Amino acid sequence: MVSNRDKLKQLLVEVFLLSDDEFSFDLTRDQIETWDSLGVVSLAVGVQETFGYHFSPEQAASLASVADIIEILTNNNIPFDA
Amino acid sequence: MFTVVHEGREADRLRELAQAWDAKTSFVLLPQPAPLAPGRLSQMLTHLPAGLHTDHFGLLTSGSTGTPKLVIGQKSRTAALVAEIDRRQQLAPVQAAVMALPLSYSYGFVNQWLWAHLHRRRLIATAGLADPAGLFDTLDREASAMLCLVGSQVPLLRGFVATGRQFPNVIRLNFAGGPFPQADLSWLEQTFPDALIIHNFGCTEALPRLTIRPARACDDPRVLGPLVAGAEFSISDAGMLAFRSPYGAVAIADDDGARLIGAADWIETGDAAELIEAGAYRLLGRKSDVFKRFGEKISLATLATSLREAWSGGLAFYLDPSDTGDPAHVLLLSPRPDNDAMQKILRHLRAHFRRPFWPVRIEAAAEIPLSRNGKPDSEAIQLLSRDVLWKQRF
Repeated sequence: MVSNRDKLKQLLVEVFLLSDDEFSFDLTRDQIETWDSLGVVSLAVGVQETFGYHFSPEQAASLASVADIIEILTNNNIPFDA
Repeated sequence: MFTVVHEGREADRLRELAQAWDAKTSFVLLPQPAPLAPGRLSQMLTHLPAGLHTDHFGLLTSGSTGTPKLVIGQKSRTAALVAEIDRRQQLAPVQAAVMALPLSYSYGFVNQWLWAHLHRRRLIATAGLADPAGLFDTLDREASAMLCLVGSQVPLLRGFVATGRQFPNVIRLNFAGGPFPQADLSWLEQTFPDALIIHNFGCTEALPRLTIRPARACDDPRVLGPLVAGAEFSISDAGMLAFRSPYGAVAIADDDGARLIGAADWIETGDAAELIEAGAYRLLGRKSDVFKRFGEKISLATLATSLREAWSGGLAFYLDPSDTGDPAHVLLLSPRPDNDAMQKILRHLRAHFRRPFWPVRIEAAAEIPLSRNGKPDSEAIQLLSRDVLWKQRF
């Protein structure tokens, strides 16, 4: 069974066109040049499709890192193992 | 009075076409299979004034709209263009024209059939890439030959030509009728080692040639060569390329009537273009291939040219008909890329284009279907079985 961490990694790699070796869970928005305004929309749709969670527009716009995404999902009963 | 000549590769058909060209009366070259019923062709011809019923000819084209139209040329004007093509493409040493395109396609008709007819050279009509072995046998046999292709045939050609095989008999290799296959130029030079490879641009309404240059004269395949003598370009406020040519069509007829083309009339080629320096033009794509998406001007020709740096297989774009907002483009690849090749394509998109330029999906199919003229057939593409390899999430 694919873990939520792996699902999120796969989603971010696909949405932001990252290569596997440049991805890390410590990445911030500033480090991903493709995390632009349309990227935010794409990320929000992808999270809804993958985890069933709907970011509010304000939440989506305020995301500043991969850790922020995990925090919001964890707080909404979507577990991420360490 | 127009006579009707049916397209065909048989000797009788070719003789009939030669007689029609040499006769005083006008004629229409009807493609096989005919794109319209005989009654509709007769109706189109009734729209034409009496002055066009002698010394003229007509070619049927479906154009970009899919609606057949009859493009009328004057024999003496097209013969003058053939002389200009002969001079600019340096065709004097060519002894045989090997046809791999439909005879009724204006590019093949003028650059090969009519050139061979007027210059008393051999014309060998082949089945093209529908019978690659027959085409290759002809190229091996015919010395000092001219071959005319469209760029989208090259991936197919590469698939049929064994590694290291060469065709030294071909001394002129022309491309027109779509984007020039710049990414394959080195392979073409190796495969046709004695050929002058020529980048041509035109359209059926120009019958057909507007610009000619050696392929090696410029690395950007979208940059057009010098105009044929006497022709002119202009760009409309909407960015569309238009031309006037002393060799172009004199009338266009369809179901609704005929439009006569005067010497002062500008005719749109259907391409978007820009003037890059005095007298030099760069294509941005077909009218339907240039559109706004999230405020960005997307040129599919520019995208395709750039992606050639990352992918050497077949590729084509089509517009997603299910999209309800901005037009959206889908990239179709063939054959299916492996993971490394796919990553290379994605990295290329990320490195060179902002997100609105990225296709909404990247798909793979066993083949990219081509139309009769050798261009990707967008209607047939949408009927294909396709695998989605990557997609945008909105």
